[in-house]
Amino acid sequence: MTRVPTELLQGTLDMLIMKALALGEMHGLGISRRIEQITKGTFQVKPGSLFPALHRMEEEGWLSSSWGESENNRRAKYYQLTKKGRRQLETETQRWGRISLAIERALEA
Amino acid sequence: MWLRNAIRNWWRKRRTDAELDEEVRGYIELLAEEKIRSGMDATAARREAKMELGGVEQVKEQTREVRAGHFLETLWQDLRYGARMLRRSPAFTIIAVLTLALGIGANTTIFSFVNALLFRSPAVEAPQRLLEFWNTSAKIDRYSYIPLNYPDYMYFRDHNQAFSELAAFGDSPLPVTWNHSGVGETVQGQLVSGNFFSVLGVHAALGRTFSPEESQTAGENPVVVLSHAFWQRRLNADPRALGKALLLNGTALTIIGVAAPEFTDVRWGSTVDFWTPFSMAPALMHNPHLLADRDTEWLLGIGRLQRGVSASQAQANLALLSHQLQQQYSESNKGIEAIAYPFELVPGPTRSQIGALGGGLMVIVGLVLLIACVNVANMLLAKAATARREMAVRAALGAGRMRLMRQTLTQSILLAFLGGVGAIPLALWTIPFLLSVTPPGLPVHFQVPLDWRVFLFTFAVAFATGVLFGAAPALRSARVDVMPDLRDETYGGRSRRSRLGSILVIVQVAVCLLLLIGAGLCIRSLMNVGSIDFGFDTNHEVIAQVDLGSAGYSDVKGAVFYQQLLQRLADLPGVTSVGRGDRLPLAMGETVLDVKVEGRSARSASQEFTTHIIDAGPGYFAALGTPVMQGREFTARDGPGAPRVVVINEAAAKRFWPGQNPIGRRLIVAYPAPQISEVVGVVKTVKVRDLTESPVPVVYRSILQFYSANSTLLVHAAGDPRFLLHAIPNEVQALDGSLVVTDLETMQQYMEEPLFPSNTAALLLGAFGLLALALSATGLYGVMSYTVSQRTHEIGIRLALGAKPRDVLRLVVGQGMSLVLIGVIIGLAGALALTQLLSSLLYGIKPTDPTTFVAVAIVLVIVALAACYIPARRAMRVDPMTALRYE
Repeated sequence: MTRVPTELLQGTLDMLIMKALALGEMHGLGISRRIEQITKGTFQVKPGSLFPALHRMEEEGWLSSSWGESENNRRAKYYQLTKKGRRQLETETQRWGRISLAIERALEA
Repeated sequence: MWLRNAIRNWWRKRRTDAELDEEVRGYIELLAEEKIRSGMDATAARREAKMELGGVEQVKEQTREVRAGHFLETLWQDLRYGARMLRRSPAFTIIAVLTLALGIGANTTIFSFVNALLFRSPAVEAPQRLLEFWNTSAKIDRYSYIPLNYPDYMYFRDHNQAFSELAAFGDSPLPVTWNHSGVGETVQGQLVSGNFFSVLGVHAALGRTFSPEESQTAGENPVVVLSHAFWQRRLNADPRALGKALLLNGTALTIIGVAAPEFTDVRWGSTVDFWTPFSMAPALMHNPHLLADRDTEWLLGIGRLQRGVSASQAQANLALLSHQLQQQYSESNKGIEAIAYPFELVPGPTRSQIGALGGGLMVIVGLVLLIACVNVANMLLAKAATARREMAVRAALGAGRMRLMRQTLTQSILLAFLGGVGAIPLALWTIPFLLSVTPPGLPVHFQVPLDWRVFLFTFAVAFATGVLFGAAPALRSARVDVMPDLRDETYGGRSRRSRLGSILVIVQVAVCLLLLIGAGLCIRSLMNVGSIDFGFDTNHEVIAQVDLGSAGYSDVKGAVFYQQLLQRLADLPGVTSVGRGDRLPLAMGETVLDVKVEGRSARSASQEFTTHIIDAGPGYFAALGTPVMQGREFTARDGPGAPRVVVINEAAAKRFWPGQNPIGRRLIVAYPAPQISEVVGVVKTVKVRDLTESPVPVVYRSILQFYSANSTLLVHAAGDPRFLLHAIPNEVQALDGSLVVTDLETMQQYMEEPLFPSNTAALLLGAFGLLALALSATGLYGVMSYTVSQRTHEIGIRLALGAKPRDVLRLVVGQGMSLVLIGVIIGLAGALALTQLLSSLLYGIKPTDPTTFVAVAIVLVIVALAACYIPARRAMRVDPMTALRYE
């Protein structure tokens, strides 16, 4: 299980978080688990990278948060993707597609 | 967006923090529950969850770091922390702030002067579009300064194509006698062209200024515009002053306006009380032909550039007009060219001279500040050692290295800012003190205000200073080892800090030595200047100016008046001789005429010399204390009807008739009409323009044959001449109550003027040198004290092992002095290289004068020895038992 080095893949981390939240609102640990799931276990996001990212993205306006009840009836902070966030996700997805295509071509050449 | 977030974060800080705490702890709970569900027991699960998280506070801090406005918040925290630290050690803070205030204050003071002279702009409209110009002569040198005559100014005004308007003003203020209610008083006037105010764009606060169309014909338009300061001071800001008349030099002039308060004339330091148009010049200057005279040079031009015309284009245009004048008036305008400069309060070549001087002084005070910085840096390093534990705690709590560094740096900058704040009152006190050192004879009023530029400079310097001395402690604080520092293990006598401290001490000593050598050289140079033989006696005379023209005396009446006055003065008890002349040695302004010399040997190259001319009366040389070397000086018989005689000085004798007896020989002075005069005496050469000139030839004419209404009186007393300061005006008033005596001072006071720059330089350099020495000494003392206190343990061991106290003393002092000696060697080397820069300022002493170098070095070593010895004595008295117990 590889740890995500935060500095290198900050944009990628943002993308993964937004993708995870596209499936519905979730709290911090849940987001981490979802990312693990959707990347088939490749990325395990540690809280030291997760929380700064979540708070930063909330300040950017891509996420919004609210306090709710978690599974075990505890108070937890839930994050949702905003409309702006959805747009950002799309933009990032397209950009990622372009980059990976270019790199693929470069490696094949 | 960022701003909104930042404000929101700050506003709701406590709640946000609490939420974050809850969120992170909630994460741990959820994680623990996951592990419990997968079979772990509760306690193990919780512990593992906490370890996986990595530390609640650290995660919280990492999250806080990315929020908007975090930087500002931490900055504010650092400032408060810094302030708290400073409050906790008041002695340290006071000493550090005082040291910095002295260093920064010196810089602020010098910069205020530089600012007032070079950076402030005159209070006129769009000064960048104004150019000043005057003449230079290729014959003398490119930077010579020759005012314009009136007809030339008119020519420039009427024929130029670069300026929308061209005005002119008198090159120096005109002292006139203002007679009111039976009392005479001297005021300063300025003669200007009609368009002067409109070219400058200066408006009237009351009434109006001159209009260009107003007549400039001699005698017409007798009006004045008052300066705002004069109107407030002497007329009590009376609005009804408009329309009243002032009796100036015997002419009644009507007040038509008061200038705006910000405008105080076009020169820095000017104390002009009123302006009056050129039409009044012939009356006020007692020269009826002044406006047509091509030989009296008394004006400076100033013009506003037309739109789209550059300064170089205007200069070219002026050059063209100068050439036209040269062709039309080949006699008077030979080699004369107009040169233009941007309009400033201190214009032209003087500006670069003052710039060089100011730059030099700024370097010096910069070095003093450097020494002060080293002191404070050392103090901070010493303090940092005791604050290591605190730093370790902060590091354990999650502060990164950058944050620790920033904290220490912020504290340093805060300290520096306090120093900057302290510098301002220091400057406010020093500047008037320096200004008060100005000799009273100068009719100038220097204004050195603390404007926005000075404040900006002060705080920029404070900031840079804080960064400079804070760098070392900040870097030191980042290298914190959490575990050993928490346990407060201060083993090891020679801590890492000592090497940096040693280097700082060496730097301090070297810079201090450099400054002191520079100061020493300049002071010795001044002492040399002070011992120059000026050619006359400076100790027993009183001088005064009398202007008979203002009271309307005719030539005949004036001559009689002077004769009576001099007789009365000579009869006073205690007076040994009296005399009068048209100027004093080293006075400003000069008369230079062509002199044709007869009787030169056929082999000589030329017959004509351009020579200084001074008119002197009987007793002039005796009163001045200048010995007559050959022949005689003037007597009462060398009057209007008698044959023309001259007295020449030794330099002239050597120049005109080298190796021959000049008595009885003849020469022809070209002006006002060529007359043959016989040489009847030779006097010792007297300084004419400045103190360090080589001998200048002077031809003296008999003042009885060349009447002028204005005269300088010289009265020589046997003892202390100060009683003459009352006696002279008394005698003048006894003869004519309406006359006023001006520029009344002793010769010693008068000599303060030419000596003023040198005296000021000595004062400043000496003061800065001493300041540097004091700072270095206290710095060295502080370092030594600290070292001793750090090594108490080691010293105790040595003493316990059998070392004598004297050995300890020698050890400590030896280590300190070895640093000092290294610093001295470096300083001497640096001085050898750098004092070359001073060579143009030094008179009679080489920049590498060995006596000065050695003497200064010895003084410094002695002072340093004292600074090392005192703390070392404390080291000697260490009780081994206490020292061994102390860790």
